[in-house]
Amino acid sequence: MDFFSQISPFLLSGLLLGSIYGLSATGLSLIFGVLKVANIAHGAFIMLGAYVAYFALTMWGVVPFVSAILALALGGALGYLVYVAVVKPLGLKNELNILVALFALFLLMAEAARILWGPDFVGYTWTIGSFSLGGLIIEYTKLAGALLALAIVISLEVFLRKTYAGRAIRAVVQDSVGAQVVGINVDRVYALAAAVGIGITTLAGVFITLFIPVGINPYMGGPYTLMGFVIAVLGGLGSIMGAYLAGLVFGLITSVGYFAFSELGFAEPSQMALFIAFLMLLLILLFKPTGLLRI
Amino acid sequence: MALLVKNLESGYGKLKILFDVSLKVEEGSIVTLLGPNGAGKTTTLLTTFGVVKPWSGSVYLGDVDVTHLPPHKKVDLGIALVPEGRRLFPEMTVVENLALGAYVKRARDKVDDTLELVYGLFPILKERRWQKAGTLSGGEQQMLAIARALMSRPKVLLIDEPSAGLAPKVVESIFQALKQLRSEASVLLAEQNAGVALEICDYGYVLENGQIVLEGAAGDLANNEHVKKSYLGV
Ligand SMILES: Nc1ncnc2c1ncn2[C@@H]1O[C@H](COP(=O)(O)OP(=O)(O)OP(=O)(O)O)[C@@H](O)[C@H]1O
Ligand SMILES: [Mg+2]
Repeated sequence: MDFFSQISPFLLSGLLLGSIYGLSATGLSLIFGVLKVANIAHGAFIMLGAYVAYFALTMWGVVPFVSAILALALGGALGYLVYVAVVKPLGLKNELNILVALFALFLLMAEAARILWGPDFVGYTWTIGSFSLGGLIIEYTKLAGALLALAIVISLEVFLRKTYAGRAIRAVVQDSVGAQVVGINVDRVYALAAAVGIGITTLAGVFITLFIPVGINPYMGGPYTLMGFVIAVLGGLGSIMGAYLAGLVFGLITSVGYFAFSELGFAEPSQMALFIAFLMLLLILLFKPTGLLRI
Repeated sequence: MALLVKNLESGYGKLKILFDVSLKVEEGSIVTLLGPNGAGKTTTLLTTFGVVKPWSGSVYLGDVDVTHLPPHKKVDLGIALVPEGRRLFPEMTVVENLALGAYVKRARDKVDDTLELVYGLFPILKERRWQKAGTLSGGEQQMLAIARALMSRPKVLLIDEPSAGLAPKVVESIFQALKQLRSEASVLLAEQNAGVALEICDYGYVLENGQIVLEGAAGDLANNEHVKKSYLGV
């Protein structure tokens, strides 16, 4: 087999998974842009979304594209609660306290999941077939997940630019005092951004299960927090489209990295992919701390 | 509509900045608040507007007690602020900034009319309407900040040192525009530049160390020995 036909499946799966990574990072980026809060608990909501997908399908036969709506609503409600019960009482200026509280929330959610649903890896199988494109096998579920993720990101961008609520969010991102001055209820915008951001993150957790059908467990969130930050920083914290594009780039790099390391054979490839993520974060922070795009 | 500030006190943390500040802006008038650096001019405007919480005293818009309303409710009732440092949305165009100025429901229906009004006042903003606010000159940014505040159709406009950091010619043209606002709104203008402020205002207060130490009609203040010595440099 020639090099291109060897690597092209990895490019494709990198793009498809990257689309989901991008979606999940938009939630993180939105929250950072508006509240200037780094949502360390990010990965826990990915985990929650993954369990929503699992239980919805195995208990009620509800397919992931439908349970995604449930996850969005659940995540949205929890995001609102996180703002009202954690962030606001601590005060937005106490960044360190908020960081610690969100880390505690992350651990709490993982432990709660272990107690409720057990420590084991669970998963499901759900296929609606595949098609072949120039020798590449593409599963419909993955393709649909990736395209839906793109559609959701575009809708979010349109919401931010065309509606009053969306413009209020962008105003707070650019100057929160200016936003107050024009009569925006900044407190409500914070709550809205937390709800939308965590809602989207939880929804992304559902889509991720399309790619890791048996990787669902209470402690799965950690790497997703890390990857989420790498992607959001690469995209320019606060930028929605930037986060999405960075997700695609990240998906491509880790997927090709996986391919390269499995060829070389000296290291465990998925661990190396994570290592690459760390390395990228370091390099971005050194050379382009503002990221690819701004909001 | 008239604005009445009565015995206002406020500060930051435990530090009291304003002591028993009372002032009145009659309907259709321009009132200036003079004072040196750190006197508490900005704090007076921010407390009136609700960004800084009042410790005691009251604020009335017409007959309505608005003392403890948050800023977004005050804007809704007709108080607007042109803040220190302008606080524009730098990555948005001039038009987008102005559209957000009309964010409160009351102002949304009138956006087109109000745009005409502010473009008439500051024609340069119409020329620059597709430019990002962050790329405007200092004078243009100040004009945009005032125009954005006007977009909410305020009855009372609070303006914080519009002359700060601008060349005299630019200051002159901004103050000429402010003069025309009388028919639109009552104006409370905080300024260090007493010369230009006293030229356009009807009445003035002098704030020092958080207290009103002097007040009077513009002409009287301009002839007052203390004002002459400390603020007009003559
Ligand atoms: N956020 C804040 N926290 C603590 N102290 C503050 C804060 N803002 C202002 N101060 C203090 O309050 C006092 C009054 O400040 P203020 O900004 O109201 O004065 P000002 O008359 O507007 O001055 P300037 O002409 O320099 O703008 C100053 O001593 C200042 O140091
Ligand atoms: Mg000031």
